[in-house]
Amino acid sequence: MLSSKSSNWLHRLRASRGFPDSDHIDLDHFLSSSPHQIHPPKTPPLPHHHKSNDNGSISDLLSDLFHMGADFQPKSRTKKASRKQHCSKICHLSTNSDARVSPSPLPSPLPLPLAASSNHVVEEEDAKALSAYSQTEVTVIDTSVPCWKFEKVLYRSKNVWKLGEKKGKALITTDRNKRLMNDNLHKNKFKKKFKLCTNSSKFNNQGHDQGKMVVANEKKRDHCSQVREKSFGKKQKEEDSTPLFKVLSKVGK
Amino acid sequence: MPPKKLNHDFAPKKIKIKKDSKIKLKKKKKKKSSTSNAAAVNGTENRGVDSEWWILFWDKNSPIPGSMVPQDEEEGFKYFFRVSKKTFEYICSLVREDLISRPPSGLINIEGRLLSVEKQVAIALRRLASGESQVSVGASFGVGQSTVSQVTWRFIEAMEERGRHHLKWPDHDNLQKIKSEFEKSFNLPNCCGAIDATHIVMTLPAVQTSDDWCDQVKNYSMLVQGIVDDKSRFLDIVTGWPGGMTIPKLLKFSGFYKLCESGERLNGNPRLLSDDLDIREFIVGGANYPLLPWLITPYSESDEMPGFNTVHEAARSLAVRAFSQLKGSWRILNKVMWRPDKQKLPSIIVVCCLLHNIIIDCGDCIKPDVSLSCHHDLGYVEQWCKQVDPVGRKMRDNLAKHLENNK
Repeated sequence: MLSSKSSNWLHRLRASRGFPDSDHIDLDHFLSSSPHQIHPPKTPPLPHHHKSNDNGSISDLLSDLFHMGADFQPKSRTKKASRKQHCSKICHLSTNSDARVSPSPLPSPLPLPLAASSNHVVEEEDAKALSAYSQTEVTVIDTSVPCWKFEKVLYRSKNVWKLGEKKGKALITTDRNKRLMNDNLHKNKFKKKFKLCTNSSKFNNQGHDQGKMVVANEKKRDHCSQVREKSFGKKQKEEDSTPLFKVLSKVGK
Repeated sequence: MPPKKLNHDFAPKKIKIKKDSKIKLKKKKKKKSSTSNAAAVNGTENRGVDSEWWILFWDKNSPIPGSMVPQDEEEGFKYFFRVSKKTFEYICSLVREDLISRPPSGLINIEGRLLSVEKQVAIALRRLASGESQVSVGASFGVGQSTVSQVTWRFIEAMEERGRHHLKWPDHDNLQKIKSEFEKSFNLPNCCGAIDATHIVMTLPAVQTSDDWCDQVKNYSMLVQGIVDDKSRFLDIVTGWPGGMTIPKLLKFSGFYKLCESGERLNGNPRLLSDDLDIREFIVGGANYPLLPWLITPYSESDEMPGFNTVHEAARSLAVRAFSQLKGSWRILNKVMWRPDKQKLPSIIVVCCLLHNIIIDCGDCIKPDVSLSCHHDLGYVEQWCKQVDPVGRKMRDNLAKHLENNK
């Protein structure tokens, strides 16, 4: 019953498409002899087909948007020519899950980049407006402003002047501040060295190398001592110099 | 009196003597004492008031027949540094903490000795006062160009931080004094100061980014705007804006303008005059400024009220004089600066304004021959500002009436 039914529809299909109504057709012969008689049906693209193969559809989509390289072979396509894009497109990532890209294999103007480009146009307009202006960074001192000194970006187009904030504006770090920082760093370094030096005095019998290190530190201390002397006063200097002197004397032995 | 030769060899000799005295001592003791003595000598030299530098400088730069340098030593000091010795000491005390030489960042001279604060201040003041090249200034002090550059900038940074109290808008009491002086001198009630601006000319590389600094007479320049009191002392300064900017725009970008417009400055009680005229607090400015309720400019020739412009100009000339004194005293501002750092130039300008105020505050007088003999903004034509505020116009009419009634 089933076989007769199936043969019937097969016969009907063959008849409708001009195929010989026989179970033993020589397909090669048929194709070579009468190609003009074949009219394959133009099946419309089936969305569910693409849904069923997500990987294929994504790769198709990506290949629509980008040049994927010469090695890339999309799985779900056979007609390469139709997918060729004349120029690359900007990919706008959307967080909106509904904004799916059309699964159509044919290249078509994609709605997503166009929708996203509305913002882009605004930016371009701003850029165009500003492009007419020359741009200068200025450092201004104004004694009516509490901080006195500030930095601005000045836009000028002939007699029109506009003010803008400096991008990535950081506090003006003066050389003076850097120097003060360096001085402090130097003090701290000296303190560390001094600690090392005083600690080493406890182990002064550990060998010749240890002694060398202490002497080296002592040599540097000549350079630093004035910093300490000026910053901590004479008393402190005398106190500090005593253990060092002891260390030296022990090393000398 | 011939200057004493207290040369720099003195201190090292002292060290040598000390060292020699220790020869008989044990090696370790000698080592310790020589180190501490050297430090002590350096410390004393560095901390104490150094007057040696002046003796050497005066010896080196003493007046020769036909030179402009005064014969008198005190006058000579003022000639070179614009300040009296007393004011010089005060300036040193202001910046001492910042300039005191500390190794390793401490500056040393050719002989390897740390530069005293006094010598550093003298180098910086000479550089600002003369506007001469760093090499030339260095040669007069026996230091290199690099030292002059470093010392000057360190001084400027220190002064900018430590001398701020010499340049601020006056409090209520001081403002009352200023107003009463203006009224006494010019019969202008409630007048708080005079405003003016000048260009600091410089050279810049001929690249497109320099174009904004090009002004109306094709100079590259930076603007300075100042408001001064009855003693031509700066009360407010704005600088850093390019010279191509118009004066009304410069005013509008200033903090002073914003404060006045928001009623936070020049907001004292109006003066009700006997002739029923209401005068609020104001300043006077030139024709290149807009006429505002708090900024009174002169009448144009066509609608002048008799006598007003003369009085107005006399009051405004205080600001013109201040800039002439400023550029005359600190010639670095009057010379064409060669490619200055535009971030640093405002600091240089402001420090010169601070020094101008310190001279006045310390009671030094600026000698007339120090000021520029010509206008401070020579070559620049005042462009008439057509902006007129109706309330400002009313204010100006009231002032003119008041002057007319009190002739």
